[in-house]
Amino acid sequence: MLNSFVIFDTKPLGVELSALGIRMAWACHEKGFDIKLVFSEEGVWCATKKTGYHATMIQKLLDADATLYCRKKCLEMRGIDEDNIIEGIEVVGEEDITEMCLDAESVNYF
Amino acid sequence: MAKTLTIMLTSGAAENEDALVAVKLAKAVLAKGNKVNIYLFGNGVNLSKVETPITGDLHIAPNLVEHIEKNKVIKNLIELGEMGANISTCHTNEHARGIEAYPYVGNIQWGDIGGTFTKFLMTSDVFLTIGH
Repeated sequence: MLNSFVIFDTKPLGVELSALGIRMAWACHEKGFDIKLVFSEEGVWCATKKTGYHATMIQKLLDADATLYCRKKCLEMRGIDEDNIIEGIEVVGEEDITEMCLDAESVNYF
Repeated sequence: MAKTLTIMLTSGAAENEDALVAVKLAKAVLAKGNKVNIYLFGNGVNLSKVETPITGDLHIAPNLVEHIEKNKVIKNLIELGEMGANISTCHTNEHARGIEAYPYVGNIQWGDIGGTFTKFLMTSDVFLTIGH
């Protein structure tokens, strides 16, 4: 069984890909895979407090003890305050993300 | 010892090169005696269905038809199925595209992310996502 590191670099609205990634991550987490999610580039908009499919699924993942991260630099570049990120998502830097990529058996992007 | 590769293909024919890379890679892996699973996700599900061809002039430039033609990928997916690859779709993405009721080509099968895909992953040594 492979553990996975899933990178989201697409926005939640107007693009299908991030919704596919959320669905894949939820399915894998439910089946007991060790899976980590990181929101990067335009994907950080998935992690902001709001209504809709992404926010609901992210909360479900957090409630089910999944680990979710958001890239600090991408928030700063978009002027998004960390207070606007869904509670439970950890804001991390490049070095942390690099370490997690190296530890993962597969790295996937959406 | 044979290993198992699972490819999640999120591009369809219009994204042209992604799907061609996926099927060529899958063929090479099978030819080396390994196993391949392909999960068609997102626009990839458009590659799973029997096309109903129109008659007469397409009104599409021939070089554009060559660029986006889905049958060149589908032909490879049929061959991959015959070579032993397991190929399944995401029926939810088919539903979103209004194609869920149409018949599958070759050995491609109905699938879902929670069941089919996670079963693929449980027996995989390598997992790749290909697409845009």
